[in-house]
Amino acid sequence: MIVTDIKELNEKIQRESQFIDLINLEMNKVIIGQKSMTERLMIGLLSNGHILLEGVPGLAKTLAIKSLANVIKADFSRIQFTPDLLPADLLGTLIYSQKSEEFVVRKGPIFANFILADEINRSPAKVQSALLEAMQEKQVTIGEKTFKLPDPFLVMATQNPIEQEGTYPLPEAQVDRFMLKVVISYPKKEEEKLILRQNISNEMPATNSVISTEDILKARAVVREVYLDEKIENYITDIVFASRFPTEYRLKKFEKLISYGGSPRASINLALAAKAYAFIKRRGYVIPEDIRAVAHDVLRHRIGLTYEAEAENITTEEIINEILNTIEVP
Amino acid sequence: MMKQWFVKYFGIALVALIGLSDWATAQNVEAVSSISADTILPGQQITYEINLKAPEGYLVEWPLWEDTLSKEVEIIRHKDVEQLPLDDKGNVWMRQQLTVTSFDTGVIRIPPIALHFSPKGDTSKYEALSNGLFLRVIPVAIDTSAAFKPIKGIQKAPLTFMEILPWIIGFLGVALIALFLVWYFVKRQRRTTEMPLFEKPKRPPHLTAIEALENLRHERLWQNGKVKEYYSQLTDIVRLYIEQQFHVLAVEMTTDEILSGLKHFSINPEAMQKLSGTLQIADLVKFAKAQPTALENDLSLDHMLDFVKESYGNGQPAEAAFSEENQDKS
Repeated sequence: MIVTDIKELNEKIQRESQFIDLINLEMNKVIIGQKSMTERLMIGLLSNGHILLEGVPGLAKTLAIKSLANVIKADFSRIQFTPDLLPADLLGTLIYSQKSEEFVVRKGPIFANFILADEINRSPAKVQSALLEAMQEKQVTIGEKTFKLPDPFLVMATQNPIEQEGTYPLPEAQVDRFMLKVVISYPKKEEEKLILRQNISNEMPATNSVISTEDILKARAVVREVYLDEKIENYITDIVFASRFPTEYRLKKFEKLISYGGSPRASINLALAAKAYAFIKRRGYVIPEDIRAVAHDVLRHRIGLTYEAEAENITTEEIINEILNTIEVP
Repeated sequence: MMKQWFVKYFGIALVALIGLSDWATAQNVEAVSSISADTILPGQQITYEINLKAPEGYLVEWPLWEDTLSKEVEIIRHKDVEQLPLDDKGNVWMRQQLTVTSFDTGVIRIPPIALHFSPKGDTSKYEALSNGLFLRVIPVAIDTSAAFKPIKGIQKAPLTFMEILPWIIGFLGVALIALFLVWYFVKRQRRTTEMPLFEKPKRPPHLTAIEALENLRHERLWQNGKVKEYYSQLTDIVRLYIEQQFHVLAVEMTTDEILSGLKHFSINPEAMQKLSGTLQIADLVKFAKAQPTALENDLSLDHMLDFVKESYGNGQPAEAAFSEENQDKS
């Protein structure tokens, strides 16, 4: 069998994606279980997207992104969002220097490769929008000067699903800027036993830096080259359109349950995430399995439910499942 | 003198004559009233009857009754005025009965009732008075030596037919609806049980699939450069066959999901191998621009034919596989 172009691409991907195994090896030293979270972090990193993480406290969210930053020899900042946080605390500000008798720029913690925005919904909208604007523009203006943010720039924001009092939920338009919304759950019993042993022993394993940020930037370029066939494009648009116009896709029952469906950004991110997933799986082309693997994470925060759906305890997960089970696979 | 005397006595005679004429007219009309009992207890009801005798052709104005006959006598109800046949003297008799009572003790006078009438051919109105009556209302004898009795509760008035009527109509209505529903469902049941007799037996899925595969071979798609279309049709035929034969929703499944879904069926491993290999080649053609050799194209169709022929007898899931799976889950 002759595979034109793709064969070369596959070989290139085999070469360029070797670091994936190294990253996994290092990450597995400190993170037990949560394979999906690590994989999603890699997808975000490779496709230049940001991640919104939802999970109860203590599930190694901070440890994961800190370890990833360490493995990639990158800067890491952790910002705890609180109700009194100001945009300047995040982005930086101008400070008057008595020595030089002029205002100097003091950059904020956002100037790092990896940002953990912990409990993003605890801060008011002005701080949230400052972060989300920086995420979108990849640059920050302090005073009269505009500073580019470092590349790669990955934001992992967390939300606690159990405490809603005194929070400022992210508006739909802001949530849409996150490429993936990952829901993480508790580890399995066996995994928890390993976590327990690791934490009560005297020696805590440490990660080593195995690749540089330049390698990641190179890998990103390769990810963009991953082949996406027209059949897969149609499959993606069918899935997103089914979330917008369910009746046209034999899903009339969702007509009153979905208030709004996925945006064009959903289609773009579904394609990009699928490409990154194929890259992680060492493939030079996207197959329907890749789309299905990332569909939940790309769509769950982009489908709005109506009051009827909430009254009937219907979740976006169920809607996405039904859409995937109804749309014909190419 | 003589003239004065004449005028005086003539006037007196004329007045007397006119008075006599009125008296004579009144004498022709006679009103008589009577009561069914002249002594009653307070609240006891009796019949008050008023009769009027008048020559034929007299116009009588019968009184319009209100609530009372007098201050102490109350009218409970009254019957219509009856007109009796002419007597032998050519008089008309009219009669009306009223049910009356009184709640005041003592001797009560029922006043005469005035009935107005006009003789035939005369527009003047005359009055005939009925006789007055006395009614004795005696108090209830109270035994003061007896002990006080408790207050009686509210007594229910006996149900009348008109009160029960809506219930009867409602009950009949419900019974009719129930009878109609029973009739409808019995008729429908009969129809559905009769239907299969006329239904054309469905064609077995494997025959349809084999025919479609043979047609695909004759279409010579890959020979004309339509390799992608050839593999799309090839997989569509087999996926539809799997869905109809094994009730696995293969049309909406990816290759991995289809293979995983068929694990529960006891299909010959060699046939499964052929299916798996062909689906993978098809994925490469459809999504990775693969160009299989002519031999591979022919073999793919042959493998699919073999799979259909070898698997069509295995429509039921293997019990062993299911029980193992269930044990794992539990």
